[in-house]
Amino acid sequence: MITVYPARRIHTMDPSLPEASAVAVQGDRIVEVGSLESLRPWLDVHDHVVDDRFADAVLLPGLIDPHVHPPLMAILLATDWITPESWNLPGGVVEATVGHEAYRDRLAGLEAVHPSGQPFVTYGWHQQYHGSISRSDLDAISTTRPLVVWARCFHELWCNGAALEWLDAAEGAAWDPHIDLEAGRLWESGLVWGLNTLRKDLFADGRYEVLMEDVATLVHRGGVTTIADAGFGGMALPDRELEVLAQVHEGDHIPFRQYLIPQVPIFKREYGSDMFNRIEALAERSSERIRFLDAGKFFADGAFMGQIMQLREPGFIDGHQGTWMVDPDRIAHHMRPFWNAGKQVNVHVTGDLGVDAVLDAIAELQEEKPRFDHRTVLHHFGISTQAQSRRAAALGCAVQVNGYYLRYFGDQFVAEGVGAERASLMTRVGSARRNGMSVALHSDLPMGPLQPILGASILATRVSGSGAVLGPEECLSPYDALAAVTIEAAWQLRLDHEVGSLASGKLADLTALEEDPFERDPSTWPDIDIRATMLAGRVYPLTG
Amino acid sequence: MVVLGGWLGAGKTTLINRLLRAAHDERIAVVVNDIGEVNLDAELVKARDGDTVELTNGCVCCSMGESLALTLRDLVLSERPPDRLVVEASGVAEPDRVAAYGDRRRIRPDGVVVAVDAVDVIRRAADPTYGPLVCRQATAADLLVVTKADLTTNQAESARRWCTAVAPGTPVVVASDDDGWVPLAFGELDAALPVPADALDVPVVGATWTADGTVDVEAVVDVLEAWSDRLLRAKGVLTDRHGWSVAVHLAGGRVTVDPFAGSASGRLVAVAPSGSLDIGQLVAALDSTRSPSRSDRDLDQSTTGGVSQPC
Repeated sequence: MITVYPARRIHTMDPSLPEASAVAVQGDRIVEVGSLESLRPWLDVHDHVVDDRFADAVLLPGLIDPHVHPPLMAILLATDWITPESWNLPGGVVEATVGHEAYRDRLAGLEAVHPSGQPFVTYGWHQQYHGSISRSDLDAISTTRPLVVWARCFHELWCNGAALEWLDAAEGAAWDPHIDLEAGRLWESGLVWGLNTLRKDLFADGRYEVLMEDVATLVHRGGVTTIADAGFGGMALPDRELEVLAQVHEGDHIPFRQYLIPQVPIFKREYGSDMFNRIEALAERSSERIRFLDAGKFFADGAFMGQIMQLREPGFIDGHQGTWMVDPDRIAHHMRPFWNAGKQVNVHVTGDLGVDAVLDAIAELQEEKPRFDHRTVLHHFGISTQAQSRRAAALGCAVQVNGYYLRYFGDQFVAEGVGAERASLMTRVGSARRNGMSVALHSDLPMGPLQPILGASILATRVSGSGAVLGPEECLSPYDALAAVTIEAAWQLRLDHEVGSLASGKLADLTALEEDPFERDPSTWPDIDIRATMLAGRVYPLTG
Repeated sequence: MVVLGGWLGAGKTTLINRLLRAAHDERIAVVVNDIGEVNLDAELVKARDGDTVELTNGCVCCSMGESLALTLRDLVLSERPPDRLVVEASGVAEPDRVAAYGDRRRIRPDGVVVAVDAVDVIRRAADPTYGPLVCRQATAADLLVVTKADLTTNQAESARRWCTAVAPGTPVVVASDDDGWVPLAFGELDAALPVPADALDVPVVGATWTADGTVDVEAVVDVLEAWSDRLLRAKGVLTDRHGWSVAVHLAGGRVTVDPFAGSASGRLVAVAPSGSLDIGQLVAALDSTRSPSRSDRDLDQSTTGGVSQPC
């Protein structure tokens, strides 16, 4: 039985046949894309029904977010959110909170209604938007209930006295220089100490599984049918993580496929020299909704949001130094077994010095064992140069960026980070396109909201939080911006033969919108409602 | 706790093997970034259990894991705590940041040892990408150990000059076969003086002060802190006003005081680059810490010098 879905317009994201008005689906595959008339040869011969539910909707290929961290999002969902930007969470919309007073008021307000006797943990504090905070501020709210403020950049906790006691921070401070009892601050490795207790509390009584179901809701709401966890193994031992995934993200009710990219340093630490075999063996454990990519995730320099990426001269305005997450000299060494085995290499790289180190590594590997179509992906690609963009293109690399960097941190990076020129050109995607590279967009959930249409809007407009346009020459065209969340994301996952565009023989994954983004200014894309998604021919309506 | 730093390939693993071999009567626990990447001498290895390697001489070697603080705590609170910790800093770490983990109540800092690759360091230091970090590592050191001198005829001398230019005042030793640098790395000043003359590049002067009775430990700490920028190291086991034995250390510019299980020798040894230490002044300052009764001071001075002057 063929089901025909007529639509107001279909954007196939296949440049050979960019627009259509009907798609015919059989089982999990697309039979043909075209119009009711052009589909006749099929419909005259085969049983079919016409389903009109999308007749006034606009269809895109199922949206793809190729770099998310569901387990990390789950742990944060266990907390109360007070964030500088608004978030649409399963528990309700979190309105943006901006300003010192507003933050204090919100914090005190949420604490007041929190169940008595329970520790209160809030996520989202950001110095730039909320001003400074310290133990004494939190002690002023409560001296008896543990209060923990978890920073938006994730790597820092602020505690009141009761929370320091709860997290056994005094003992921790005896061992770890990254715990400051007077200020109530736990950061870097001090955070690991705090998480020992925090994680147990947040995930008590099977809450982790419930929260992972909430993450699934977020994926659906974003109109997304394919995600990739770009750091598999980061939250729990791989076996345990797979067990939870099989329990909560597998089954016909789940409206997305989830691809897992092993985080190589974690596997290396856990399994030592057996790491490569362990990762190879994971492929056999793929199921319908949970699948392993023949790929590995590697790291170069520190996080963009915390301004600890590695920069070439002239560096940061205040002269501080970035960090390396691995020896930059050893990047090729870590990648080599994957490169030689034909696997795909994904690298976290944020600053231009980091980009140098990564491109040096890829050049070295290319020299040793030339590979065509290796699709090495530079993830985040925060600060880069034009020369690096051309070199990355020549080496066969692709870039995958986070649109939210520019929206939420662009102004700050101009004023306090690296100055106007380099900050305005962060996530230099226009050049990447002009130089012939594939450009895809990710949310890096929980770093940015899982809303590809919003991210695409930011990359097409480059409007910062203050309303300034940062680096207008680096905007993506509206088409390239939507390609970044469909066919280019698919290409970067080496799945473009299956998903990412609508064409005969491909999987019937699509996203139905109430409006046509190509008829609107990209700045208004976030206002477009998503009606439903389809995964492998099955429709998953979005209600409310 | 000794922190062992140095750029990747600078010979940290070789130094770890040397340290472990030289550990005759101490149980050393070595914490490394990645046990899989450390090529321990096969004859030292007794048993492997996941992230931990047990050695034939009672020492252990283990991976850092998720958190250095947690790893150190587990080691120190274990049933058989090690006598000494050696922590390998990652090739891109600033070793003084790692040393900060030793600046706590439970762990005595023994300072920072940085391996310097005789063959590679000058080229590496000139590299626009990695050079600044290589130099920062050297300036963080309390002791610089030039490695791979056996691979080269003249580069060891160049590397030594590089060290003294980048980190003036920091002792530089060439890792030679006799492991004469090992006691110095452990901060064993009694053992290290006299250091083999051909191993030590920077002339140092050492002084031993004898307390002869109880002291005001806080006052000793004040004196050492005041002198910390002029002293390379100091170490002593003294008797406090309540009659308890305490070990006082100055290493890496930091002073620590720990309870000491044995009886106090009442002696304090200090080492400084020659020319920077006015021994009379230091002794006078330390004399004032005697409490409650004062006895005659006893000063013994010894000097060692290197064969070559810093360039």
